[in-house]
Amino acid sequence: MRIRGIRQPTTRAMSGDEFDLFVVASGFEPRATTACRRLARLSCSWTLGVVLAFQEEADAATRKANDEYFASMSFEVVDVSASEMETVYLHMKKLLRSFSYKEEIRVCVDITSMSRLWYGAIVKALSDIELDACIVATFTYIPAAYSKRPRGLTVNEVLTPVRGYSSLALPDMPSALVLGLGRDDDCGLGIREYIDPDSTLLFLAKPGTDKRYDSDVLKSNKDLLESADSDAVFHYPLCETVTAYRYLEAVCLGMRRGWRVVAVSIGPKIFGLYCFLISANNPDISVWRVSRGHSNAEATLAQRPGRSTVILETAWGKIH
Amino acid sequence: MKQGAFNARWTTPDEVARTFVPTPHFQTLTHSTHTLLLGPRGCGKTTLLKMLTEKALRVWRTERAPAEKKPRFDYPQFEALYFASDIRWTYEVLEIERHYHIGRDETERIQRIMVSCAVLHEIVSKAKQKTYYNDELQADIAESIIEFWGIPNTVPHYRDIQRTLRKIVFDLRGALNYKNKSRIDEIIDACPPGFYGHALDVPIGTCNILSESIHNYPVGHRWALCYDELEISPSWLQKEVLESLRSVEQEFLLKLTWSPMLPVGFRSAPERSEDFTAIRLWYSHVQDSRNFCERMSKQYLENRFERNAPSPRVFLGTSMFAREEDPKETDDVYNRHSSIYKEFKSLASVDSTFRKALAVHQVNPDDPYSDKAEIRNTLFRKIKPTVLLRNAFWSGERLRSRKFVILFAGTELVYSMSEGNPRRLLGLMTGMYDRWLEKQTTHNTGEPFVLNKIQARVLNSAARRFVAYIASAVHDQEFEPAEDQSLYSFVSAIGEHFKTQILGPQFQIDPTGSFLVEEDVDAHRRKLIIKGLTIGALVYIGRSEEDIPTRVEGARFRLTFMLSPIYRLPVRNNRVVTLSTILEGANQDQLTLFDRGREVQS
Repeated sequence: MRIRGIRQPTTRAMSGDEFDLFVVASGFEPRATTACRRLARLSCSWTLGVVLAFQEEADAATRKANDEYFASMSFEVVDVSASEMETVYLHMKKLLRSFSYKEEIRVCVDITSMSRLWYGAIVKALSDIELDACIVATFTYIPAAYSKRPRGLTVNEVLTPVRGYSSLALPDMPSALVLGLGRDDDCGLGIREYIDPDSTLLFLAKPGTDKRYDSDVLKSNKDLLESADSDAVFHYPLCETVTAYRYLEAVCLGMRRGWRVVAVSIGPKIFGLYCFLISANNPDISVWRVSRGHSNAEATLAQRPGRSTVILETAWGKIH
Repeated sequence: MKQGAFNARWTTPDEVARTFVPTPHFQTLTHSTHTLLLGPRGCGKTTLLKMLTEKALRVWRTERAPAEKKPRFDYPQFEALYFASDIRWTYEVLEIERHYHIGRDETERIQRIMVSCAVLHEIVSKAKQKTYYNDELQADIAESIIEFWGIPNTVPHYRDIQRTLRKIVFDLRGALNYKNKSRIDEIIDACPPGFYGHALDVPIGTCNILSESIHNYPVGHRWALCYDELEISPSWLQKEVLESLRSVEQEFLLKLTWSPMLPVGFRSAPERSEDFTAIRLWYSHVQDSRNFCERMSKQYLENRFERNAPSPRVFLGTSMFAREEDPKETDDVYNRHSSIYKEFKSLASVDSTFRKALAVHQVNPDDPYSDKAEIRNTLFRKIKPTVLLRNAFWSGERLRSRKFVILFAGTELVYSMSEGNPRRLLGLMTGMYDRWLEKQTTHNTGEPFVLNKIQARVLNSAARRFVAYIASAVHDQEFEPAEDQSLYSFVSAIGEHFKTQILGPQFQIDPTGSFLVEEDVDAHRRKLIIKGLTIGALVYIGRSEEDIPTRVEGARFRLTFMLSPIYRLPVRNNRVVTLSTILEGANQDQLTLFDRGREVQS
């Protein structure tokens, strides 16, 4: 299937929405239940709720509270390792097929606490499944409330193509790195040095939800930004999903005429989602992932939910 | 500053030729022998291979050679074909087995098909270039290629051959993504069987077609097949190409790149000097790269300044810290009016261990001067960098918290930190030039064009970028090591150890600064060392300029001087210590006076 259209509904406009399937994640973050709570307050409903539960974080106190909440909401639990894509992919396809009798399947996916591989697998499942029905997949993301910037160099333990998102394009053109920046010191710099592309395009969330985040990203990537051409630095609005998606898409599609594009996201997860969605529609664009050392990376912080709810609705249809 | 400007991988051969600085290495490469270029990233391997190509040589011949006083190299008696590769493509191809859960044999067939498509795509581009003037010849050659390889459903036109090759790759990708086994088998079966034969079948077979078809090739025309980034390619490709160094058709030469350690362990391992020439593209000793760095920097400045380009020495000044003075100069350098004398005296006033060290050598710590040439040439020259570093970073009881100091400045230091690596040197020179552009000072003030404090910022920044690169240098795509087993933690342990030698509680006349790897080194550490060599974080110290390591065990290494500002190290090889000594010290969780006073590095 391919994405036929996107839009950004407001939270108010989602009031009373009915979904066939609602997929969330349960981990150690307090934010894990936020999207579900907010949608419940808007009287949204779902036929089947599925919670992907991190195998690695079973003992954290907030994790127990999250699990209890989802149990109270009758979510079906699927225990998965953070680095496991195949299970999520197959399970998602199975769930979608279970609704194949419908003309339109409505799915909600909250990526807030998911690992990047999980929502990458979900996007892949949406892309690969062959159904007569069309699918409307609404992705939600709850940005974190501001917390202090993690300091110190993070070591990249893994820097590799995401399964199913390798373009395998012949090396007959130079490569271009599209990098969504975050707050891990010099992580982006290291990635650029390692992949060694001909061209690097940097994306920063601006405006974000808190000016302090914007400032932190600039500090954490000072050397990288200083060495970049000014026309290779792009700001995308964190909370305006259609604008951000289209902006990134335009840049990627423009670049691929003369470069082999590889996208890496080390910042807000919503940017990672855009990368997967664009690659799903344009398989010659690769998506790579980074897994960092746990001592001080942003990903290890148990972040409280911010006030915003970022929403992107995608409509998927058959390839003709 | 344009990103990627120092990366020759995607620079056209014309552009490479316009900025090329010839070296004796290139002269060797032009010989009609198989050659293995060994060195870390950025040392110029790709540039040298691209300079062998017809396009690059034409630009040299027409634009550069007329301005040269004498020929800088012999033109090669072969035609070079350059096969590009990069980390992105290589790792995506390598990950096929792991990502798509298909068998090893099938993975290898798919990889072979992809490599063959990439190679043939490039050779067809070459054919296009050679025959642009003759439509009929183009059609003949295209038809011969299609017929020879059995490429299906393709019109005899270069563009269509390349389109078919790209389609094969796209179809494979689609089939892999959908895990459609029968479709994968279908695509493989439809591919010419020659595409998954020996690694050199496609280039040799296709080049023979060109040789036969293009009439102005002389009899016995030779080709050089230039494989870049071979050290990160699939193991079957490495094996077959390297073994071919021993046995390939006479009309074909192999020009290959590799990491700084010679490949070993193949069934019929090629013998160096009999089967191939190894060219070592790094410098163990600081002095060895000076001439090259001087010429490259000079050319850089001449290209930037349209008129009245300053020399590198005028642009950057000299480095008291990194400069190794001639024995004849030591009388001036260490006399009582010199800066070094003041530094010695300053340290002796606060560091009792330094006073003691001088006294042992019968040098008065309150008047650290000697009229004996032997003392100046040995002791003073030896201790100079340690003295300067302790003065800069050590206050007598604890380390000073300083982001950077102007000690790290000057031509010699820039050259040392670059390690003679063209990409690094150009990066550093560009950093300096960009800063100079902001202020545009001149030498009239008596200072170098780029003030020392600015240089120190640039060099510190470059060192930090390199650290970030080390932290990103993934050890092994199949293995997710714990953070404390990363290359970064390994390099840090070594750096901190040598830092203690310089800034520790005891002044060391002869500090250690290099390490020897013992025979019982574990497999993980061996891999880390090889990774460190490949990315240039570690440098092999050989017995001579020709010495190339074949194994890690028993070999001597040091950290790259690029890390000197981070770990406050002199740019010297210094005395050797065993790796186990370093790592034992790193494992001990001891709080020392100096740990408590450790500065926070930005």
